[in-house]
Amino acid sequence: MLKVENLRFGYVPSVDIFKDVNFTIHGGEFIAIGGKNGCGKTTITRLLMGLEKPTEGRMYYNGADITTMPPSKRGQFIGYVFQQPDRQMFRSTVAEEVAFGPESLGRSKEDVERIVNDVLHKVGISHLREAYPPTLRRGEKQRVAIASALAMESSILILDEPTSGQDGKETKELLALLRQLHAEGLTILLITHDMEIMAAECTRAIIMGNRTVAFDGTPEALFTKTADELHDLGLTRPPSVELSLAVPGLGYCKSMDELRRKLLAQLEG
Amino acid sequence: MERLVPLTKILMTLAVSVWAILLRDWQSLLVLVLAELLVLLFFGIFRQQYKAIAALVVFAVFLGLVQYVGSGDIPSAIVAGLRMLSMTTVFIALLGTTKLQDLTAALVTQCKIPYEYAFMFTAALRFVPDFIGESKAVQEAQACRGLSLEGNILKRMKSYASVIQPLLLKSLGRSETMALSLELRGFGGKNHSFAASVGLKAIDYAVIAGLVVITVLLFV
Amino acid sequence: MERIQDLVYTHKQGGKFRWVTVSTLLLALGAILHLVSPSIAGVTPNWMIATYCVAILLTKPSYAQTLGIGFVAAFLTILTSKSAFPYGNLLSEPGGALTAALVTRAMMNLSWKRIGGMDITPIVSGFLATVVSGGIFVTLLWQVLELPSTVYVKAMWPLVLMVAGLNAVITPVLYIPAQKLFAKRGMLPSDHEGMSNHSGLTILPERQAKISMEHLTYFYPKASTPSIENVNLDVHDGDFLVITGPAGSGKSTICMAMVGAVPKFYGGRLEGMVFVDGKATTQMDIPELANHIGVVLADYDTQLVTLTVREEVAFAMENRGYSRDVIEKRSRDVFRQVGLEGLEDRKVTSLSGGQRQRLAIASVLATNPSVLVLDEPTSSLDPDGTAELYRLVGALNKEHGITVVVIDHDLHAVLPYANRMALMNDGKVVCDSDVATTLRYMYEHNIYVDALPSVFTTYLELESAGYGSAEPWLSIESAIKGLHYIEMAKAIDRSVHARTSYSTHSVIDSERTELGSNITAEDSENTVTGGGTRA
Repeated sequence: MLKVENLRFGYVPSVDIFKDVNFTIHGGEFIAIGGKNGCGKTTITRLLMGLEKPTEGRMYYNGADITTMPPSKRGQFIGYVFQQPDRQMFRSTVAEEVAFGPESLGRSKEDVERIVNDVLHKVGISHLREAYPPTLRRGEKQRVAIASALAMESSILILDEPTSGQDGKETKELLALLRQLHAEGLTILLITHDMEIMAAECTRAIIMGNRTVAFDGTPEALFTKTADELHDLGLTRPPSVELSLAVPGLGYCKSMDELRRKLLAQLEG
Repeated sequence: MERLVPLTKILMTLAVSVWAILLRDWQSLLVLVLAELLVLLFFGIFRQQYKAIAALVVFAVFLGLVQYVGSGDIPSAIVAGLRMLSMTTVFIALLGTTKLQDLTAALVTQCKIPYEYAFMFTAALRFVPDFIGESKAVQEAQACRGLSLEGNILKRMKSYASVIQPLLLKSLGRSETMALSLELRGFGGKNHSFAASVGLKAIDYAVIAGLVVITVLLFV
Repeated sequence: MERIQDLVYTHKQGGKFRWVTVSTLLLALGAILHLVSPSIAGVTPNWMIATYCVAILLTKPSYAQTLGIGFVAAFLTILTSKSAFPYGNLLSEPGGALTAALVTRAMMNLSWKRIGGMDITPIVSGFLATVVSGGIFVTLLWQVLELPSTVYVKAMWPLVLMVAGLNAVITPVLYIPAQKLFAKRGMLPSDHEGMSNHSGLTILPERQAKISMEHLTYFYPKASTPSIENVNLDVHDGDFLVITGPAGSGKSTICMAMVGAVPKFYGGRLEGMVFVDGKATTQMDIPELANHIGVVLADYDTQLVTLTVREEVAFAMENRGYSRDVIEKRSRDVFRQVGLEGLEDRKVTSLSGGQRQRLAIASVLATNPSVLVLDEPTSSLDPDGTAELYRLVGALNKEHGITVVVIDHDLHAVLPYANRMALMNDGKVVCDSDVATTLRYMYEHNIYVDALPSVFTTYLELESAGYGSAEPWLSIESAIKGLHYIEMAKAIDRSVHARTSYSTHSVIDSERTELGSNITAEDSENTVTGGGTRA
C-alpha cells in the first residue's frame, strides 16, 4: 500500500546517500529497517514521511502519487516517532501534547477528546494525562511520543530506534506494546540496531547498505547468511541464532525463549 | 593579517573607527571603505560574508537617504552612509581573520576583561547550533502531526510560540548540568592560563606605531 | 576523631555559577530567536534584551556581573546578527542590562508590584531596559553619523518605543514559565539553611581503598526519605566496577557522591562519609576532587562548553593554570588515548553523539585523574556505539591503569570488561561481588531481572531445569561452550543409563564432572574455530 520507486537522495546534490531504492510495504507488516551508521535508514523514513524531498523517484500510497505531499498531509496515514522523545514534545501536559495532532487535522472537540482518551488508554498512560512531559521517565516519554503518533489515527507507524536508551524493562514493555498494536492491524516500521529485536519481533527486514537496499526479506533469511555477508551489512547474528547454530539439529531460533524451549525439548526427548 | 596577534587587530579596528569619525569628506571615506573591502577580498572573508556586507550596504544607503531627506545635502548623505559602512566592515574583518579562542585570550589577558564574560560569549556561541537543531526538531514534530506552515500569520505566530517555550525550559534545565560541569572543571580558578599564544611581536609593534602615526596626522 | 556513622553534612543547593550558565544559555536562545523571529508590521521584538532581562530576574546577579552580561549580549549581537553599528551595541546592551537589574532590585520590596495577582516586574523591566538600551543606541547613531534631528525624534524614538512595547509582552512570556521551573526545582536565589563546615575535624576512613563510601545516607533538599541509605561500597585501584539497579534505586546518587557533587552541588544532607584516597570529601572542594576522579555526566552533551574540540580538552587545564607546553602535551596524549586525533579543530557541535562522548572523556582525562566515573554513558548510543565506548573504556582500564566506575542499565556490552558489579535496590547496595555472582543474585532475588542479558537468563533457566554448565554464560563464546557441555553431559548420561541399568546417581555425577573438565578443554578449540568463521 506504500510503494517507493527508484528513490534517490543526497543532502548534497553530488553525493548520493542512496539510489535505486524500491520496495512496497503491505498492510499488517512489521518491518525492521537496519544497516550501518550513515547508511540512510533514518533518511529513508524521513523521505517516506515527507521531511526530505527525493532527488529522483516517486512514492505512492494506495496507488496515489504522494511524492510532493507535505508531511502535514502524510500525517493522516503515517505516524512518526522520532529517535529522541524529548525533542518532539512541546506542550505543557500529556493530554495536550497528544491532542495536538487531531487538533491540527481539524477534528471536532469531542473527537479530539475521544481520540486522546483512546490512545492514552491503549499505550497505558491514562494516569499521566495532566503530567508535564519533560518530567516523565524515559519509558513514559517514549509512550507519550507513541500516543501522539497514534492520535493521528494513521495506518502506518514509523519508529526511529525507540529502544535506544531504554533499560531492559522499558524495552520489554515497549515491545509488548508494539506487538499488541501490530496485532490490532497497525503496520509498523521499526528502525533498529538491535539484532535480537529484529529477529524476534519482525516479519520482514529491509537492510540499507552500499547506497541502496542491500537486503529485503525475512529475518530468518537474513540471519542465516554467512557471518562475512552479515558483517558487510554492519550486522551480527543475534545470540539466539548464533547459539542455535552451535547445537546440531536444533534449527533456527528467533529468540532466546524459542531456543530454550527447543533445547529443553531436544534434551528431554 | 594572519601574523598579527588579536590585540593588534583590535587596535586596528578601533583606529579605523576613529579615522571614520575624523575624516569629514566623502572621497577619503570612500578610499577607507574600499581599502577595507580589499582586505576582506584578499583574506577570502568577502565570499563567506557577502550577504552580511550586502545588508550593511543596503542599510548604509538607507541611512544616506534618511540624511538626505533630513538635511537636503547630498555630500553629507554620502558621508553618513560611508562612515557607517567603514565602521562596521572593519568589525567583519576583525572577526573574520581572528580565531575566537585567540580573541578571547587577548580580551582576557591584555584587555583585562574578566574571564567569566569571555567564556560566556564563546559558550553561548557553542550552544546556538544545538538550539537551532532543537527548534527544527520541534517544527518537524509539529509538521508530522498535521501542522501546516502555509497558514496565516496568526497560525505561524502560534507555532513559533510553541517552539519557544520548550526551548526555553530545556535550556534552563541544561543550565544546571552546565553549572556542575564548570565546577567539576575548576572554572573560576584564580590562575587561569591560555593555550593560545597572543603576545605582541615585533611586527605588531610596528603596525601599532603606524596606527598611532596615522591617527595623530588625521587629528592634526 | 569522629564516628563516621554520626557525621552529618548539609549544604545549600546550586553551585557558584548558575548566573553564568543561565545567562549564557538564555543569551544563546536570544540570538537564535532573533534570527527566526516573526515580525509584526516589520517590527520585531528585541529577543536579546528580553532574554537577558529574564536571566537577571531569575539569578539576580551583582551590578558588576550585570554589566558583564550586557557586554556579552552586545558581542553576541555584533557577531550573530551583524549589527549595523557595533559601538552602539557595546554601550546600549550594558545600559539595558543595568536598567533591568536596577528595576529588579527597586521593585523587589514594592507593595504595588502585583496587579491582579500577576507580578509586573518582568513587564516593567522588559519595557524600561529596552527603552534605555534602544535610546542609547539611537542617540549614538544620531550623534556619530550626524543624522538630522527630525529623524531622531520622529522616526528613531517611536521605533524604540514600539520595540519596547513588544518587549514588555515577550519578557513575561519568557519569564513566567522559567520562574515556575526555577521555583519547582528550588533554583531561585534564597537564604539557605545552615551549611556545615568539616574543615576543623579529623575524619579517618575505616577501610583503605581508592574510594570508600562508609555508612552513607543522603537526602536531597526537602526530601523526607533518603535516596541512598547506609551504603558501604569501596572502589579499589584498577577496578572496573559496574553499578546497576532499577530506575530510582540511587545509582546516580552514588556516582554524584563520589565526585562531591552530592552534597556540594545538589545540596541536601549527607550522613556518613565518602573518602577519596583516604581523605574526606567534605573537606575538599569539587575542582580539587575532580583532580582525583573524573566524571562523564549522563548529559555529556551539556558537559561540553567550548566552541572547538581543542578548547574543550584544554578547558579544565586552563582553569587550573597549566602552562602552555603542558596543555599541548597532555592534549596530544588524551586525543590519542580516546582516538580523536585529527578532529582537534572541528566545532563541538559538528561531532556525532559517540564522538561527543569521547570528547567528554578526553576533557576529563586531561587533568589526569586516576578514576573515571561514567554515569549512564550508553543511554543515547546505539549498540555499535555502546560496544565501541566500552572497548575504549576497557582499554583505558587495562592499558592505562585507570580505575573505572560505570553506572549503567545496559549490562550486555559492559560485561567483558567489568571485574565487579554492585546492585542497588531502593537506595541500598544489595549485592557487591564478581559479575556472575551479582547477575545470579538479580535473577534469584527477582531484582531488575529485565536488565539481565538474555543469554545469561537462558543459562540460569537451563540450570534450574537441571542442565547446568561448567561456567556462567557471560558471552556468546562461553554460552556455546556451555551448550556443548550440556549436550555431552546428556549424551554421556544416556549412554551410562543404557550400559549400566544398576548405576547410582552419585556415580553418574562424579563421572559427569570428570568428563566435564575434559569437554571444556576440548571445546575451547571449537570456540576458536567458531570465532574464525565469524570474523
